[in-house]
Amino acid sequence: MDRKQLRTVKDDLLFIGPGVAFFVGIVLISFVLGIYYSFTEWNGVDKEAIWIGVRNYIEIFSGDEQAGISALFTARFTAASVVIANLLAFVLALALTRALKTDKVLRTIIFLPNIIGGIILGFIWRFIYVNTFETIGNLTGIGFFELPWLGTAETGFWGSVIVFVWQRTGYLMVIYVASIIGIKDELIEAARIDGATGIQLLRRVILPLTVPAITVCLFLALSWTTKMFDVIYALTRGGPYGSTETFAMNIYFEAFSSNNYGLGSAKAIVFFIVVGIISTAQVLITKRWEVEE
Amino acid sequence: MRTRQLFLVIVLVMAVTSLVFAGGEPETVELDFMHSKSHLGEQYRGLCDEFEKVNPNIKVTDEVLGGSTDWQTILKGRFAAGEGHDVFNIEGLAQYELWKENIADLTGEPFTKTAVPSALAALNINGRQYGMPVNFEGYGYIYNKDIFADAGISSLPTSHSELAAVAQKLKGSGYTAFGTGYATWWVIALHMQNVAFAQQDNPLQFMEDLTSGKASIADNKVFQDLQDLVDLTVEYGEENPLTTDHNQQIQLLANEDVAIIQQGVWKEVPIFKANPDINISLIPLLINDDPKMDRIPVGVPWYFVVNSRSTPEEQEAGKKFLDFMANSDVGKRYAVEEFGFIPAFKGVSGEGLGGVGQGILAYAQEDKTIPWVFGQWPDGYAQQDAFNNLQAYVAGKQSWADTLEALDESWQKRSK
Repeated sequence: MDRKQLRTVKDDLLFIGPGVAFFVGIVLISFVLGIYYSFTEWNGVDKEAIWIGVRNYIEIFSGDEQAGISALFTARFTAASVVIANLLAFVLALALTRALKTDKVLRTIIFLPNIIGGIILGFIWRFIYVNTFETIGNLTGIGFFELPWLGTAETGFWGSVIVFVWQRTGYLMVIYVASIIGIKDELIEAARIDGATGIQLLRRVILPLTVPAITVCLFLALSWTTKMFDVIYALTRGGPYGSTETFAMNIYFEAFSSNNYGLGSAKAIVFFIVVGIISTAQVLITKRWEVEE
Repeated sequence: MRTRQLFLVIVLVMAVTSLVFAGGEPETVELDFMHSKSHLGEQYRGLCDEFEKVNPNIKVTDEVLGGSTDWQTILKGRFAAGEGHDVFNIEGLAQYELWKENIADLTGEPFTKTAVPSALAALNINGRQYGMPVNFEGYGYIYNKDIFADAGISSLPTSHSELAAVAQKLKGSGYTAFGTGYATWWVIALHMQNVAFAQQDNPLQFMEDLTSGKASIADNKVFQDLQDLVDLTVEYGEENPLTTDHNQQIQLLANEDVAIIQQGVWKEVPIFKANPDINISLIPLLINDDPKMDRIPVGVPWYFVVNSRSTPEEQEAGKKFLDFMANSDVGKRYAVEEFGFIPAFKGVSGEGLGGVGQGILAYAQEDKTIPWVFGQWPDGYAQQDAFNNLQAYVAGKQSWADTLEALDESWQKRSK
């Protein structure tokens, strides 16, 4: 390498060095260690982890009923939350790009729940469901509030979905707003001049041009829901009777409550592969829908 | 240029060395202390301050890890980071097995001579003592004496049928009898289940037989009768048993919304904080009409242990701290008056205790006690499987027979 190339390399290293160092040290090394532990039996405290080969992986798919229940709950939670949050966010974004006077204020208000930390959010909503709803139910007699919120599998499921949608819709909405605002006014005007109705405008102009935002939002929402832990942990701790346990919580309980660090790590690796496949598939599919202007 | 660089290097070296040696005088020992009594945080800090007064070269940093938090996981994290506390608490034999590579031998320490012998037993392994008992604790049905009197209940129940009659009388007088608290795993899956185990003729043998397959929970009469008690508490209990947790139980009792909660002596301090005038005492969990049901589960739930990986000075300071807690006048006073503990040490009078503590002492003095055996249960049995299945039964999702079968399955799987 000549001196000029060497200097460029040095400069590059200076800029990306710290980031790469952190990534390798914190993410990569932990990941490799996780793979190592997934082939061992370890209680998390002893000095030595015993190598047992693929036994953990076999156990995940053969004897673990609760893991299956968690996987199913996570899948249902993901499906419901991703769809509802994105639909709501898109509708709100459409509504709040009409040049109303209160647009910006409303957008900020809808975005605010995002800022609240997951654990606090879970506890606040737990209080709302268990205490506040019960009080409202007693005062008004409306059936919705008299349900045993968080005391059954169904109320636990929908309770979790409601909290997730409440927290994250604002974030998705902001992305959709940016995308909708980015559509050139001339296109909209041209479509109107050509006699496009509201629905046609939506289907033929707005939607195709916001597909990049849909890609991003779907990816984000999928990422949040599949890995969901803190909010639901604080909300229900997986109860009642393990019916609202997400897969991430199942891994956590396996590793730390049941002192089965090896099995927990194996589940985590399997989880990583599954989520990786789903996310990649989603991005590839939606990327194909993207339209050039 | 050269002098500037040299100057920079010298300053850097000085800065680094001063940082390395900045820990204060070499004689000050920093003692890291952890306990799980989340409602006694202030009081324990008071005890640490008293200890520092008589040991000026020791500085105690206290940390509370307990209550509703997953303190075991946090503790594991600390140890994994090399920040294990010098003195910490564990729950008994099963946790000793987990942590033993980090626990120091305390044989011969002063507290071993002043503790009540039965309190030392669980952490006395092969003649060596590894932990110091924190206190005796007991639990049962804490009841509101005033509500009982108001409902016309003149004698305390000593059998299941009598308890059912009490519940009916309470309902007839317009009171909700039970604040079940079945959202908290250690209420239903740990303490309630423990009574079923401990009421066996030979609990240790029963657990060994479960592991070897000679006995089963589903075929056991006490476990079959346990269904009646669960049903009774749910029928005469608050509206949503699966969403009431242990903190709400305190609220319900303190606000006199319910008459009875299943809890233990450790809840006395927060109960009296919420309602200083409440009049409470304790009755046992009465599973069936067998007279031996009239016994309170009394045990040593917590042991303080010393970290064997701490420096010798820190271990010495830790052992001094344990001695202070157990044998000094200040320590003994704190135990009874500030913490509300039933003392595990000889020669400490229980006069300062509240109604629940007195009730437990009374049962203990009449030898009407059963042990706490959940320290010997396999990891995850209670907190995961038993809890999920018992909650499923309370919700009406499965039969009691299926629940007992699931307990057997879990025991088999987890005791390997």
